[in-house]
Amino acid sequence: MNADPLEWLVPDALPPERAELRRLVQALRLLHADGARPGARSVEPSWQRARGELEEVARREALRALETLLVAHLAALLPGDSFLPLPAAPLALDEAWRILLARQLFVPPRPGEALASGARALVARGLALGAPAEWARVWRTTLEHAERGLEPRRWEREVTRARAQRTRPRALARLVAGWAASELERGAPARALAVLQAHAPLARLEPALLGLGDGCVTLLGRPAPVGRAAWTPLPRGLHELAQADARFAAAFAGTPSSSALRPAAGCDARRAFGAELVALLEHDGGGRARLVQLEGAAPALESALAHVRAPGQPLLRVWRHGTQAPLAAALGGARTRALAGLELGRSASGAARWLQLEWSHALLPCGARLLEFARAFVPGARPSTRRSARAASGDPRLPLLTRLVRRLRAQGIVGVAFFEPGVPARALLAQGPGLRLGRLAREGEPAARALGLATHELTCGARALLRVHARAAPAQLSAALAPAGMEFLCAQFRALERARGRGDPWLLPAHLAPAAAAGFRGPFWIKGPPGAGRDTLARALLHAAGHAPDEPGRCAAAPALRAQDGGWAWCAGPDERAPAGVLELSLVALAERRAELAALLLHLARAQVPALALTDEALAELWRRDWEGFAVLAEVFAALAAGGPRVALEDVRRVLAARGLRAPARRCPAGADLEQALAATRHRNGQENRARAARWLGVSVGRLRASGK
Amino acid sequence: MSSLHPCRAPSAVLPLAPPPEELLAWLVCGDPLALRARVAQRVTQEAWLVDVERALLRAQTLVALHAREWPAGALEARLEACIEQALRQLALEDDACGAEEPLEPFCRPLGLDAGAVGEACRRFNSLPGEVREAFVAAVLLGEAPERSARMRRLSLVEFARRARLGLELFRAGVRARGAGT
Repeated sequence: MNADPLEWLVPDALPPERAELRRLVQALRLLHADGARPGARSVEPSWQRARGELEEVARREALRALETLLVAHLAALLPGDSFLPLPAAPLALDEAWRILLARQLFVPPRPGEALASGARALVARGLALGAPAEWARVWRTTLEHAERGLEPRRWEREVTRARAQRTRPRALARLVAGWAASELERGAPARALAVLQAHAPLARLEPALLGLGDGCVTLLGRPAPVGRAAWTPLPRGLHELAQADARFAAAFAGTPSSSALRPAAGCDARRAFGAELVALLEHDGGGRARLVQLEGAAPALESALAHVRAPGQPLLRVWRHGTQAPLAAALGGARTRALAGLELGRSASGAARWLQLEWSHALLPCGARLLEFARAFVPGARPSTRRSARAASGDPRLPLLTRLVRRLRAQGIVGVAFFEPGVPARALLAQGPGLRLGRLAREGEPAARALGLATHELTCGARALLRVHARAAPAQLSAALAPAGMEFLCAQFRALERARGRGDPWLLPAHLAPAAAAGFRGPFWIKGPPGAGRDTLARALLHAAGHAPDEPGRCAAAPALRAQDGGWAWCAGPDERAPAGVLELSLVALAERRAELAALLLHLARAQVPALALTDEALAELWRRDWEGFAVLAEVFAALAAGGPRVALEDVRRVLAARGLRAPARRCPAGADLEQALAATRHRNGQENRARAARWLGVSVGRLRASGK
Repeated sequence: MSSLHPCRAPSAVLPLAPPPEELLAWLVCGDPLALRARVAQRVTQEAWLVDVERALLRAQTLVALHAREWPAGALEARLEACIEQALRQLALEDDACGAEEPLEPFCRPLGLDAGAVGEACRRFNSLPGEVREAFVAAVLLGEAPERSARMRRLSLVEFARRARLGLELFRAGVRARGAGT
């Protein structure tokens, strides 16, 4: 045993302090030793105590579930340019629904009415469950702000009242964050910073306060007064890094140091990289880019980078999540997430610091494409700002954001996210940027992929910058950042269906769009061939209109129900005509929805437990077919899942043969299919591989050439 | 509280879907799933400073609350997950009432405020696992620093930094009290 650890750990402690520390350590030793005796029992079992604990834990769990739903509602309600930070959802959305439904604590809200009324009902339910009044007040104020943007004075009143009533620090911190955000939204970073400085100790409890403070300091272009909270003009973490890590500081200052910045060995598994990310940073950096070199890049890419890189520019290395099945990634929207993960030392708390830079990029870093992409981000282009519905033309936030963009651009920062201390960086990297996307959509869905940039834990400044980029970025990012009402509706319906044990239904916002345009006012006549998803759509419409999907007599095959009897949704054949006064919705056969099929296949693979990992060949075999309907496809996937999570081409062929499904006729593939297949083949070295694409598509290379490829 | 008397354990290893109250009564009485040993092992291995009885009760409660939703099989993994969840919950709950109660017997004879020590322990438990572990090894178990660092494949400086990080947290509390008096 070591003589006295205090001697070498805290040599600066004065004798009285050391004496008290010794006594404290002694108490902790006893506590630790007490816990280490597995057979000992210091407390007799008490049923009364146990029952009290059960009630309390169940209550807390229900409150967490309500909070999860509240975050989802508010995230959908908040305008895109609001600075108001929302807390992280404590649970996954379907887990929250499962808890609430199983204990009959809450009926599904009526998304057809309004998100705000659903949120109010959630708060009311929380109060009924015994949540403290301060809990309800924080959520109600947040909701009001999301609805109509509260004045700073209103937040100030709430903070004053909370202090007077000795509100718990966490609740107080959220009110202070709201106050500062409100000031920022009105273009007053100095006032926002003053608010934050007055409540600096709360930043320990609420990381959002740090992010807001950093944004303020960046906007003001000056550091905070010495001795107060350590707001930094760079996004938090980056600043710490520059201070603490000489290697990074060198690169940050523009000294070439590529070899010094080689990441730890653990990064080797994350091979490959996002070329567009590099180009983006290169060009946005305004000549001081620091992300240039790609480990093991394709020759074409290397030469492209050499072309865009100025002599003497510093190098960092960028990795991309390796994707085992490039075809799957391509079919999932022809986008994969570029991720640069660099271990750059340890934070004060001992957690590894990782620099993560991410970008959703088209697969295939071929040189021409890279340069084409890069041109879209040439510095000097005037930044434009995405406006919310309530932002008028004279909104003071617009010049504020423009200023912020200029400042950050001058520093070459586009989007920098730092992992939270205490969370294993490796686990976060393994899960990727979709980690925090549980609010609205699950990882892997197109919206989730694109939303990563905007919803990941970015600092306030970087977040604002990304909003600005949303206008200039590829169309899918802009679309994903659009008001998320329909996404929310779909995500909520699917979460509920999963919670009810009905599997994971296939539903896209586009399926609901015609009904949404009619305000979800039924009755509806849903016509289409069998297997086109009419039942799912009918259930989703019932949900959207606030009816229970299982409500008897609401939904049936035409003409079993009559509107006067309460019938609301009819599922009819493709040629059956809707009666007068009933809105007709059409679903085309699955075979005609080629663009949707790819995403559907990946969705079905993910929905299995455990999720299926299909080889490219196996996926291609399923993808190139024209499927009759969802039911057949679901059966095939269920049969595949029975054979284990890894699915090879032979498995698919065996299952198809067992169902009498013969190989599809060789035909000229559609243009989009061709593009996707060829794009996926470029994964390995940046070059297209026609032979492989032809094999995936089930055609000859000659036929591929004949189609102009 | 009907069919299962608190001290009458059912014959099955895990009763099939009884109400949480009944299952909890069964778990509390006699510890049929040996949760206490599992909790104690986790507390020691992962260097948590918690009252094991409290962590055990929380784990038992979580098992009782969720066992009905578990699919067949994988009981071990589910139990371990409940224990992990219990420890994390206790570390995060800032209003965990009664947290100082088990500390009283250790703190009072030493003239320490059990409430303040409990609060410091709670903050300690929210530190990363490697920091907690280094603190326990160096300060509470008094292991030789060189050997400990070598075993963990750390430099001595890094090991000491981690241990000191944990110690500083308690030291801040001591200083605050010193300033207050």
